[in-house]
Order: sequence, then structure tokens, then C-alpha cells
Amino acid sequence: MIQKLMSGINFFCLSIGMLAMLLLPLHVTVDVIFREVLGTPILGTIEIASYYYMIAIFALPLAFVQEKDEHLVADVLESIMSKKFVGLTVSVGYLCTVIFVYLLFQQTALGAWTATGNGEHVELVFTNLYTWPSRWIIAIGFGAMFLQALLQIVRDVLQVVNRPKATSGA
Amino acid sequence: MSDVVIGMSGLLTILLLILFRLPISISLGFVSFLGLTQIIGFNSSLSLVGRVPFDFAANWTFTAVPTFLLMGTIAFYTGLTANLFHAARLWLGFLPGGLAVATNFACAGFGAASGSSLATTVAMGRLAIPEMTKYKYDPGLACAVCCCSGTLGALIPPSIMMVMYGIFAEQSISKLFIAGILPGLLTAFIYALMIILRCSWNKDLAPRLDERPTMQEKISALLGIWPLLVLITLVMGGIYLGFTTPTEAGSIGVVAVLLLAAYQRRLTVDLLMKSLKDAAVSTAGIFFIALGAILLTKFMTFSGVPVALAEIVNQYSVSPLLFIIMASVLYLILGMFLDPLGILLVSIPILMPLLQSYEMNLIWFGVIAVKYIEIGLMTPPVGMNVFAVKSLVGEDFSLVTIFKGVFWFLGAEAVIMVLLIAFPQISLFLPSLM
Repeated sequence: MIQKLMSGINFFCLSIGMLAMLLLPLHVTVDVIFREVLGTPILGTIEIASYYYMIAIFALPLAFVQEKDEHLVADVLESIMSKKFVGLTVSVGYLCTVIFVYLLFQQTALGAWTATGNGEHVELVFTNLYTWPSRWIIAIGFGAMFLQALLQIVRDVLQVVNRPKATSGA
Repeated sequence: MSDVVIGMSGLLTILLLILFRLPISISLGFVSFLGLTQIIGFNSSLSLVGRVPFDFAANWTFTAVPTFLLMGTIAFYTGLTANLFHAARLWLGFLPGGLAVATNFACAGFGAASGSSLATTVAMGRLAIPEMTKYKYDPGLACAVCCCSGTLGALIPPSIMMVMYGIFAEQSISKLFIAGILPGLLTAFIYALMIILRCSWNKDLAPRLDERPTMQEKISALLGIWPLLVLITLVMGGIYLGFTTPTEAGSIGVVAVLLLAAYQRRLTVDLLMKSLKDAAVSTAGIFFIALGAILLTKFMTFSGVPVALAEIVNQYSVSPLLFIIMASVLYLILGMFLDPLGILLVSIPILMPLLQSYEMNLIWFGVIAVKYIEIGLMTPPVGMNVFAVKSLVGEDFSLVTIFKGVFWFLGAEAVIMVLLIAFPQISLFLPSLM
């Protein structure tokens, strides 16, 4: 049930990342056409691409990557490791992920809070572009990833706890 | 414990964790964070961890990565370059091992639409292996040519590896792209020569094709690859002539590939979604590793490991050539066990100060490093391209058969690497014209 809800959140975040993935090249191409043909680029293209599209593309699919275990791993020793040991390494991986990503979440959320308070922005020619919302995007990405990794650890622990019971029951 | 010892222990721990199947990103990031806490203290490390992700991701130069990845995935899923193999086959089929030679050059062509060697291997392997099997080609040759020529995808621009190297080594991505062209073509020609010689010597390896296409058929097949030519002109032409930056070229490439696929009625909403999802997942995975690599770079800098290594190298008066040979051995060994991006991002923070102390050309070294990393995709026991081909052929051919075929290409790679190291101008000639 919780995993189902989490999967929904993960997929929603991924979808926003995919939308940013599509908008980025369209926006930049239109900017290049405007610059080369009309001589006037679209104001703030580099800033919007960097602070919004790139942040969304980087951070929002992370929870989905975590859920599907799509992180790059080296499988070189897997064939000579026992199934139990592979299971252990996967769980240790989840544990390290939970700790590391929690730190990332906590620190980026703190950064986002401060930036929001300061009204963080970059100056464009005629106007300002607020950048503090994009700090929340990165915090949300890490937050979702942290929750997903935590769920995976809980699932693993429950599996280990339930296994002896099932054996003794049989 | 001195900082250098902490740094070296950290490096060793990272390698061990990666070997024991922990995600590369987490191994790099988590160990670097722990190492930093020992050197600069917990609070400073924590503050660094908070700052790095945003500063790193909100980066205009990095936009080249998702755009080139998306361009490659759309080209892959929509089969935009499907005519490439057909054209290469009609033009080169008459040669000994003609289908293998055609596959080799088709891979080089696909490399111009995709920045990933894995995508090139899979795209061409799907088309070419069944065809070569039908004509009773040696299974080792048929599979190996797809594994090895697939690596051209990372050398012939655009190349994700070159983008990542350029960002981390602070080198011009445009120059790196252009520098990869001649070494990529050299690799394709030496592979072709090796295939032709082998198949002339041993005719059982690849029976001659009995088809004799007319010139009209050949020209018509060549005209069928116009989408690729349009793409190359728009992407590489723009960069070479200075109209666009690599980041803009990636975006233009995506729009071009979308329009071309739509024009050819190959684009569906499903394929677009699949392409976007694949590219988004790959980008997030790559960037998360890169985030870990940035923390590693900071960890290495604070620990003083690169400086200590440079001092050792200076103390023993290691010649530049010997240094390159040592770096080559390091890349070959790491390539046997680690993922390409992992190797690149672990090695740069350590090697870069040394390369700078030798005043080596970092564009040239980028080509050499990417070549070695791509060789790692063919070498046992990991060889990701070999596994990609194995997944395509299923139980029809064994891994041993594929690796046996690959060894001939590794022999060709030895010749190519000697040429690239001995004659840096092969890599640097085109960039020097920019």
C-alpha cells in the first residue's frame, strides 16, 4: 500500500522530469532561431535552462531510479558471490543510500528554506528570475529518493524478520 | 592518520565498495563525505554536501548531457538510422567479410546520431547479427563486430563521455568532439582492415555474398540515409563553424531528430514517452554519479593525494611516455571491472594534477582516456558491450564465443592506441583548425 503510494509519487516526479527533458531542447532551439534570425535571443534562456530544466531533470527522476534499482553497479563479483551475500550487499547499499541521501535532503531543504527567506534570484536584463523555487525542486527530489530507499530497507528487514517465522510455522 | 593516508584509504574503500556491488554513485559520495569529515570536520562537510548538488546541477554546460542522450534514444527507438546498415551492406558487401565491414561503418554512422556506445551496439546488433548469422558468418566475428564497433559511438561526436570529461577536466567540449572524429574514423578503418584480412585468410569465417546490387540500387540506398546526414550537418556543422555551442547543438539535434522521425512517420507518442523516460532515468543516474565524483574531487583535493602522487612521480623522474603507459595500464585494469563513467570520474581528480604538471595536452589525453574506457567495454570479465550483445543473441552463442571474437579487435586496438599516443596530431589536427 505504502509502496503503491510511493510509486505514484515517484512516477509523478519522473513525469515532471520528462516534461523538463522535452521543454529544454525546444526552448533552447527557439532561442537559437530567434538569436540567429531575429538577432534577439529569448531573455533568460540560459538561466531557466540551468536553474529549472536541469534541476528538474537531475533531481526528480532519482526516486524512480532508486525504486527500479537502476543505479549503475559493477556486477563483476556477483557471479562468485553467494545469493545471501549479494542480498547483504544490496541491503548495505540501501543503508548507505538512506544515510547519504538523507544528508543531501536535509542540507538542500535547509538551503531552500534560507533561499526562500532571502527571495533568492538572478538578475536578468530587465527583470529578476527567482531561483529559490528550484532549490525546493532539488530538495523534493532527494526527499522522495530518501523515502523510497527507506521503504526498501524496511521491506528487506521485514523479509528477514518474517523468514524464520515462516520456516518454524512449516 | 595523515590526510594523504585518509585519502588513499578512501580511494581503496570506494573501489572495494564498487566491486562489492554498491551503487557507484553512493560509493563515491558516501565515502567522500566520510573522508571529508575526517579532514575538514563534520559541519564543514555537511555544509559542502548541501551546497554541491545545486551548484553542480544548475549548470548550463551540463545541458549537453540530457539533450544528446535524448537525441540518441529517439534515433534508437524510432529506427531513424535503420537504412544505414542496408546502405553500408550494398556498398561494402562485395568485400571479404562484407557484412561485418558494413556493420562496422554503420556503427560509425550511428555514432554520429548517438553519444552512447551501448546504444550503438544494441541498435546495430539487432539488425546486423541476424543478417550475418543468416549468411553463416562466424558467430564470434558477427557478435564481436557489434560489440567493438559499438564503441565508436563514444568517440565519434556527439559523445556523452567527451562531455563529462570536458566538464570535469575543464576543457572545451567543442574541441573534444572534433578531436574524436579522426581517431574514430581511424578505429573504423583499422577494424575494417583487420576484418578484411582475416576473412581473406580464412574464407570460412564469412562466406562471400552472392548478391550484386546495381549502381542505381546503391545510390538509392545511399539517399535513404539522408536523415543522418541532415543530423550530422546540423549538430556537428553548427559546432565546427561556431554557430552553436555543444549545449545548443544537442538541443537542435533533439528537435531535428523529432522532426525527421515525424516526417518519416516513425514517431509515435509511445516512442516519444519511452525515449523521454529512458533519457531522464539515464541523466539522473549519470548526474548522481557525477555528484559523487564532485565530492570525490573535493575529498582528493583536501587530502592532498594528487599532490603527493605528483611528488612521487617527480621524485622518480618518470618520463611523460612512461606516465602515459602507466595511466594506460591503470585504465585497462579499471576497465576490466568498473563502469566507464565510474572510471572516468574516479580517475580525473587523481590524474588531472599530474597531467598538468607534465603540461600534457588535455584534449589529446581526453581522446586517449575515452578510448581506453571504451576498450574496457570489450574486455572480460565485465565488458558491458559484450553483455549487451549476449542479451541480444540469448542462448544461441556463448559468452566465450563472443569474447574469442573480441580478442581480434583488442589486437587492432593495440595498434590504434600506439598510433594515437605516438602521433597526437591524429587527435589534435582538426581542433587546431577551429
